[in-house]
Amino acid sequence: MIHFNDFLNTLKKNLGELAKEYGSQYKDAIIKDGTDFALQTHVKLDEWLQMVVKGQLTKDDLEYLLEGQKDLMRMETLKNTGLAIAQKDKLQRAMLETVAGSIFKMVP
Amino acid sequence: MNNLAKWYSYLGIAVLLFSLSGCSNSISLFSEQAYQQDITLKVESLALMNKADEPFKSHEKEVTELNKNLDEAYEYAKGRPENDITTLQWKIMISPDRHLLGGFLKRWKDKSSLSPFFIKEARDQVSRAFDTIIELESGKMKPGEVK
Repeated sequence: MIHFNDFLNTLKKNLGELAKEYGSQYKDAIIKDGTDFALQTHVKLDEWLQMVVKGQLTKDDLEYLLEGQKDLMRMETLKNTGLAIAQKDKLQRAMLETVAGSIFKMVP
Repeated sequence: MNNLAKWYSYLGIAVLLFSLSGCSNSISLFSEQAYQQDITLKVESLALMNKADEPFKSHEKEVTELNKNLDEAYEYAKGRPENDITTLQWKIMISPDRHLLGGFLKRWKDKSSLSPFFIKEARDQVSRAFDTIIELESGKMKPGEVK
């Protein structure tokens, strides 16, 4: 039998590792993504367990799909981390261009 | 400081700022080619996944062709500068040891055919996984935004 809490604990552990990997500034976003994802997974898990009972999904298939959810969570987190970096790049570039533009305006 | 010295110091600061701006770009710029490739591969992959309730042998050629295109997408992502995050996404997507597209195709081969409910659920996961790659690519800075 698969317990949701065990799955959640694995997710939290993975999230902590991911937050370390990409720096503390993304920690909040990573944890929020993870929490949202865990809630969505909970709903899916209920549905899948019902399908196992009905014989439309094997236990092996269920385990595969759970692993798939974890990979999907990693993909979502990578996307959000990448988008945060892209936003930071945009802001940094705009800031530097403004500073440089101001310097040129001062040049007689 | 005379005027010429002032001019050189302003120029030096400006050059330094633009250099720093270049160095700080820590994620690749948007690539139209990558974006189109992502969409095409999503459509092709989901269409092929739909056939996984049929024997793998009947679709082996299509799977080989799709795997070749997926490898090309991974190599293209890997070859772009500052593209580590997208490259890692592709790696997760296509690895046969993971549980997205690469894992699905391996499972189909191993089991010969898969159940319709399993295909539907795995297809949803792969579809969402492709969306994460597409959304990240479209959120990157466009070359036109770099002056």
